[in-house]
Amino acid sequence: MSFEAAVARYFAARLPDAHDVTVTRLNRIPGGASRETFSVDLRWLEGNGKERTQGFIIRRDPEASLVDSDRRIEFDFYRSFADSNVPVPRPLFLETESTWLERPFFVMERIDGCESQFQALLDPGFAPHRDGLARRMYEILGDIARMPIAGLPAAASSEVPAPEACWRRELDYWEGVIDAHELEPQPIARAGVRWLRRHPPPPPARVSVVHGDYRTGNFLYRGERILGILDWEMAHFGDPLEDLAWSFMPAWQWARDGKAGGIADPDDAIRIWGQRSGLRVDPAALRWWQVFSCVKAQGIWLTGARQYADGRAQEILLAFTSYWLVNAQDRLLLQALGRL
Amino acid sequence: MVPAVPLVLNGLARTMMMELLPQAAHPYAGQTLQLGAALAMMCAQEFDRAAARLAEENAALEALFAEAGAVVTDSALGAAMGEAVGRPATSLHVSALHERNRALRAVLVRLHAHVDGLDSEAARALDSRIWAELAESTRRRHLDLALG
Repeated sequence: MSFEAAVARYFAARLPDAHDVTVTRLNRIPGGASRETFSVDLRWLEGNGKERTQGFIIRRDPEASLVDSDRRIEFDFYRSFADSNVPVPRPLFLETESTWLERPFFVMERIDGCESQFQALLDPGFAPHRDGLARRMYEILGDIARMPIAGLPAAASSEVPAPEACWRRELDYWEGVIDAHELEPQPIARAGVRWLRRHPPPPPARVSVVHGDYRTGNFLYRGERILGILDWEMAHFGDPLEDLAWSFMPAWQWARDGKAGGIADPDDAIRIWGQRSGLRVDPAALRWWQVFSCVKAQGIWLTGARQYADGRAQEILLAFTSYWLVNAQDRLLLQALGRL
Repeated sequence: MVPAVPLVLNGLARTMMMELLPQAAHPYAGQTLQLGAALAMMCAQEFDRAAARLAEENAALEALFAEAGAVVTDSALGAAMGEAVGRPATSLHVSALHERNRALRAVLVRLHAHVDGLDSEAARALDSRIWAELAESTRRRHLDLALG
């Protein structure tokens, strides 16, 4: 059975009161490095004979990826922000078995008429929208940090650490990722880990939702509006400064002009985020999380390199990121440590 | 005489970008062609310089370990450094140079961690020397198309 036929069969079984389900378009969306992402256009008839059409997104587990992540946790973070002032695509179905599409996956509503690629932000024609979009980006990040944890669906599937445990838990995890996946010794990343352990940050004033990959390229936008925050596969509970620091990483300064994500002045971003979250930014703690971001990112690139080298995945993206980013990330870490 | 590997890889990249990319019907196919072309060009550069950069770095690390001997207070580490320096490469195959580089960098990680814990003028000087070598190692690895 073709993938398209399998998708039609799945939705015929899943959608209530649907028959004559037809896939009118099915495209794989480029860029997703943790899940295979497909855009699906469906047409079907309801019991009363009325024709319906709708677009969906399927996020399927890959054979291997840059990030080892649990689809249930990602799905639960989407659920946590559905109907909140943090815009996300509505999550619909989680399928943990491999019976339908060979591997587990989940389904979301598709948000149409918007852009996600960061390259479009750099187009001169987009310049009038950059400041407004940057403001919105950090307002939403402040809202994520402000969201009460109690009662969130994600709190049922993800551990909520004590404030003083946040930094150590993340650092232990990502050092473990480097241990598991490095293809060769990583003296710069190891020096970074030692520095982080010698200079721990103070506990956060509040344990919050941490998106885990908050940056331009990971949200849907139209002009100055953000319509959906995507890619929650690394979401967890922790220190909200982690997201702020990650968004500032020079690797995402696409225009190489010091602007976070190519659009935001970091001082403005900190001010907007602070107003919205009600939290104060400790510069030393922020620096800790910026150094940490370099170590974490290296863990991600090394995971991709390992998956490709071991033959667990043939995605060109994994080989490309290892050539394009592993050494560059080492340089960014040296800069963050004041050694370059 | 056959065309050199970098020439072939760069030609492959040009074909992917100029001839195949305009025919790509879907964004995923287009992105894969773009990534593949860039990857081929980076592999071309790496193929040409890999042996030179590995030989240069291996020699630099051997020299560093020779200097570090007077500072190191951990006898096991001292022995590991001595062993690493005492096993010169026996082949110019990139795989063999890589293998030796991995062994030397593994010792470098141990040496840097050890020096982190020492408090002397000589240790601080060695620490600076290690950081300089780490910075230099990223210069050796830099690819023209890579980020940064």
